Amino acid sequence: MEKPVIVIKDLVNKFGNQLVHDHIDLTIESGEVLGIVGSSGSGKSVLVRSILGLQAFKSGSVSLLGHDLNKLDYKENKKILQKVGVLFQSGALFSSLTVLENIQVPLKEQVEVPEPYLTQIALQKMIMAGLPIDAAHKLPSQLSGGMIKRAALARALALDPEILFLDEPTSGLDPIAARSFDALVRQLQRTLKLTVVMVTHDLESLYLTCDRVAVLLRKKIMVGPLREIVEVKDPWVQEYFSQLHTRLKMKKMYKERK
Amino acid sequence: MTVSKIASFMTYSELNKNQVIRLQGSWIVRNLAVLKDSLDSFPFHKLKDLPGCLVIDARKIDDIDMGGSVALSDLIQQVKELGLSVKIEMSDYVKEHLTLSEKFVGNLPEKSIQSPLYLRKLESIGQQTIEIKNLNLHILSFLGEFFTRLVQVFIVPKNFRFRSFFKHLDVVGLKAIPIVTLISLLIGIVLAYQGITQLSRFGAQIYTVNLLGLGILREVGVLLTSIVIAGRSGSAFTAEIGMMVMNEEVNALKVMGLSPFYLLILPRVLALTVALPLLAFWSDIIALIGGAIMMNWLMDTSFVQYKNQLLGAITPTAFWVGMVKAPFFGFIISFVGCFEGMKVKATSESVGIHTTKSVVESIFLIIVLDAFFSILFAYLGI
Repeated sequence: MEKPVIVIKDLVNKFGNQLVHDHIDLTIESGEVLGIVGSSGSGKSVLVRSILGLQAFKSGSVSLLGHDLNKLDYKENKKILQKVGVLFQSGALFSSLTVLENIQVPLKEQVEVPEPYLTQIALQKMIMAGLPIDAAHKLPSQLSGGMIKRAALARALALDPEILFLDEPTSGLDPIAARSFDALVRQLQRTLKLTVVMVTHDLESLYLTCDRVAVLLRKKIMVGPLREIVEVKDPWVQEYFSQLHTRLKMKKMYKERK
Repeated sequence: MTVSKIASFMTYSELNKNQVIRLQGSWIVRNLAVLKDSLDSFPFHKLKDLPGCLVIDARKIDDIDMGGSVALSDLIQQVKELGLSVKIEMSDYVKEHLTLSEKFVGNLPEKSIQSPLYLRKLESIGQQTIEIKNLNLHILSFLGEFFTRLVQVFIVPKNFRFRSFFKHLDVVGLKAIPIVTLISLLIGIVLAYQGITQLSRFGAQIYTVNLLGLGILREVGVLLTSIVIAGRSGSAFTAEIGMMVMNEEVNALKVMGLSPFYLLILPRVLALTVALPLLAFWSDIIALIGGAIMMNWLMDTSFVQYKNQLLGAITPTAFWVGMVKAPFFGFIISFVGCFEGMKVKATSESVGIHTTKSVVESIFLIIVLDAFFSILFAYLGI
């Protein structure tokens, strides 16, 4: 068994008087896909931001690949972050750079990949993320929502990271695009042995990609394989996961209508 | 058997008439720079001379990822181009990555075909001409809509956002007082010092007061305030409205049937048009106080004496000549600020470009207008 890639112990996040995380623990193993779910405002994004060192937390400890990001200096920090890819919810593409240049940013700035590999790898990731090649010279403002997500995924994958963070990767995509995105994540995860941490509201996505699910509920966290989590006797959890059954039922109903 | 070490990633050896390129180390994206150097220094041309089979042995590779596979494909490609029979031995792990990496290969599309230089120059002149025409039309329509809305607001005052107006009046007026005060005081001191040193040569140092009074009231006070405010509030207007355009907030207003002119532009423009004369007045007073302090310090002129000299030197006309320009300058700063803000496109770069433009253009226009006023006053004999 490899060492866990992310270990969170006793994490407390508090904004003013509002307690977001109340002493939560979470361990993420190497090579697993973990889905984080919870109602809006339950602190999913705050949790991810705490792991990535984007947010100072009140107390507790977070270790990413065996290091506490808040205790490292700039150089060591950079080294750890080379092994991490992040897909932000709205893409966070650099708006003044083209898609190709966006993907080249980590390659050029973080590890100084020389030409012609620079262009080759950027193109490789673009195609892998399912972008048409003629999008290479387009600016983010000229892309549709789905293409922005794909370009952002390509950028997140540029350095072949060990851990991939996805913040609502399928939100804003049509169901077909969302499912192909899931399949892509799953395929990449299998072949590249990625660890994926995914914040999502998309239940089908959870079913199709995740090994384990973490539910943020009432400032605490509940982790387990999906089939165990669905069985948890909690009104919110029951209601949340019943949505999927409803949707499957609806599909069946629609079929039987004809 | 001869063994020559090419680099830590590749070793070349000959074994039973076979040539073997043994690969080792971590072929990962982080090492690509070094990997490329190894490949570049590898003597591929020497391989050709020897008979037998060529083996690329990749079994010793410790670690590989998709990025590193690109270098491996490059190596295989280069060897294959030599026309030798190649045998590649690799572990499943390496093969998996190589296959995945080679699955996604594409060629970069050409940006666009470059036309000859003279044609491009000609094209850019034409384009700029059209842009200037469009810009003028744009300004005209913006100005037109602005005044239409302004008139409408006078007819139906409830359309005017008083809350927003007073909020902006606070931000661009009241909150600007500290910086205007500081700069005016310092300029008053500087001008007084220059006046005293020059005029004392003629023993006419008391006329520094006349110089200060006329100079500050007619020109310096209002110009100084305008330039400070253009940098402080004009740029803020552009950035605020620009971000709202980027964030589609302006579109949100439009689809609610609300005009951005009522909600965003009129309150800002009117607030600054009102605030600038007030600030200019304040600046006049402070600059004159600065002058008085300097006179008192260097020349022992008492404040009463300063006041009497000042009142003898200036007329209400001098004051009004400066003051009448202030609302126009305020209008220009805020109008340019809002106009540039509305022109922001969806990139963060364009916010920067338009904010810069807003400040440069409004200062330029203020100085042009000031010159125009000077000519006008000269013509009118004021």
